[in-house]
Amino acid sequence: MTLSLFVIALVKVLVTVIAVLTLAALLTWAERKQSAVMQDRIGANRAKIFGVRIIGLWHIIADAVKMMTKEDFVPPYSNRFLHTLAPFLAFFLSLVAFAAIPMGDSIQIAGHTVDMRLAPINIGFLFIFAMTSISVYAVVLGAWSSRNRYATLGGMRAAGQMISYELAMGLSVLGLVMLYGTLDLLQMARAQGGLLWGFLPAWGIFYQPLGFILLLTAIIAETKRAPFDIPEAESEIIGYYLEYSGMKFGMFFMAEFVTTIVAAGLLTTLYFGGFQVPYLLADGFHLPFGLFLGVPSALIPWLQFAAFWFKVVFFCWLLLTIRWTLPRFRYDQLMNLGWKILLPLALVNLLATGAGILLLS
Amino acid sequence: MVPQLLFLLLSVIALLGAGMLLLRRDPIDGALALVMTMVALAGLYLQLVAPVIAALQVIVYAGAIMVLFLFVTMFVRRSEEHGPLHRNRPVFGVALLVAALLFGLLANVALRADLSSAAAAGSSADLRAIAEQIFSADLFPFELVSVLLLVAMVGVVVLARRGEES
Repeated sequence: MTLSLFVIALVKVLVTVIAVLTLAALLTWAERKQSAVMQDRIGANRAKIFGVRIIGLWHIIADAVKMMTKEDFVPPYSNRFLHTLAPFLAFFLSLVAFAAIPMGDSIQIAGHTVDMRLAPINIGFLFIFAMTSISVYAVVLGAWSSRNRYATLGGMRAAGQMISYELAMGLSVLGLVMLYGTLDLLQMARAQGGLLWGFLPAWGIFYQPLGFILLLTAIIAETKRAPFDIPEAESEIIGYYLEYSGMKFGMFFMAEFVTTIVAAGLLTTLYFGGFQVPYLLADGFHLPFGLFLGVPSALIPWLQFAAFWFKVVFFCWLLLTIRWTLPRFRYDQLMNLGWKILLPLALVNLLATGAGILLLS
Repeated sequence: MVPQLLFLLLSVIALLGAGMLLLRRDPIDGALALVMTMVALAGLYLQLVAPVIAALQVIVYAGAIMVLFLFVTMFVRRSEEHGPLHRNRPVFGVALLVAALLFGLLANVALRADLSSAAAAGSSADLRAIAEQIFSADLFPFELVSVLLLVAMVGVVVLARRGEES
């Protein structure tokens, strides 16, 4: 490995980790502020430095300081090793899943072709799927090692939910995999670059609208957010991280927001063209009705990078809005939705996609 | 150098997990040790340039089957299971015999296998090749196995329900 490749890899790691963690920190603030606006409250605005409040943004730092300085309590009779391992596992697995998501098309830097994702994983979607399926352990271990019956029950509920929706999540994307003939997220994003019927961007959602709705539903359940927040339900039925305090609780909390970002990135890449800017080709904007707007080629990677993050932020906003709009599902409703509605619909979608490909080719 | 070190590390983790599975008395610890082995094996598959197999290993074995194991163990375990290990001599002898037979069988297969061609096949083991193998060349045994699993599932439900009716 030459020095320039090493530097490029280092920059990629730093940019990705900083971008994801900054967005996650901003989401903690956005969640409180947005819920406040939606419920006709003012929301977090008390923290101030030298009298400056900047719409409550200091609360991000205040929360971080609070969590790091709080007592890190490990309950007696708990399994100390597993109790400590669980939050680290949750955080690591949620963050590492982002490595497979391309933030732009490949670019040339100093004679090297640089992949705009952390790891050139050609089974991209399967990798993210594997990480989410392993992250069940973080929940189950955190719950069980606490030696607290409420936490254990919460962990069981969470594990049941995550396992149930994993299947629907995998099956809903398979239609897209059949369409593009690849698992590689970069190839999938590239395939969404053209136009459909001359005016629509050829994004996945226009080919697989049902698949998108199924994946969106399943992915909200995987992120354990309302209306699928039975695993947590902080104030009513108590969740799996009951016995966690301080930064270990904070890591579970951050893992949830990072998972939200990964979910947004996955939805963007699979169904909303990933880094593709609508109508932008290699030389400029080709708008409908023959309009053309030239763009210097040096600018295009930046536009793609910006487009990707814009879409991710949009989906984060959408997920937050859904959270504060829909009430929580009951456990039987949750299971019925997963097994009796999402799963059959995903199978129907798969069948229809297969038939469509067979008929049209 | 780095591949050899990685191979060594993953192998040690896999063997450590397998050893812990046998020696730990707490069934939860055993299940977690098995997860460790599964994940290490997935890493070894990655080294053999078989990323699809590695991902499936993690998703199916570590992510689904072992979670179920853990789930059931956490639910049905009782407090007396922390007691001393029962050493049943005749059963121990039979178990040793079966283990020795199984080991001999596996060692035989491993020694006879043509590893050079297997490594070459592994590098091309992408999703398409696996799908072709399963859904055209070996379709009949594959479907047979799925019917077998279905039969086992129905059997479990029947056995579990038997007590309820009486």
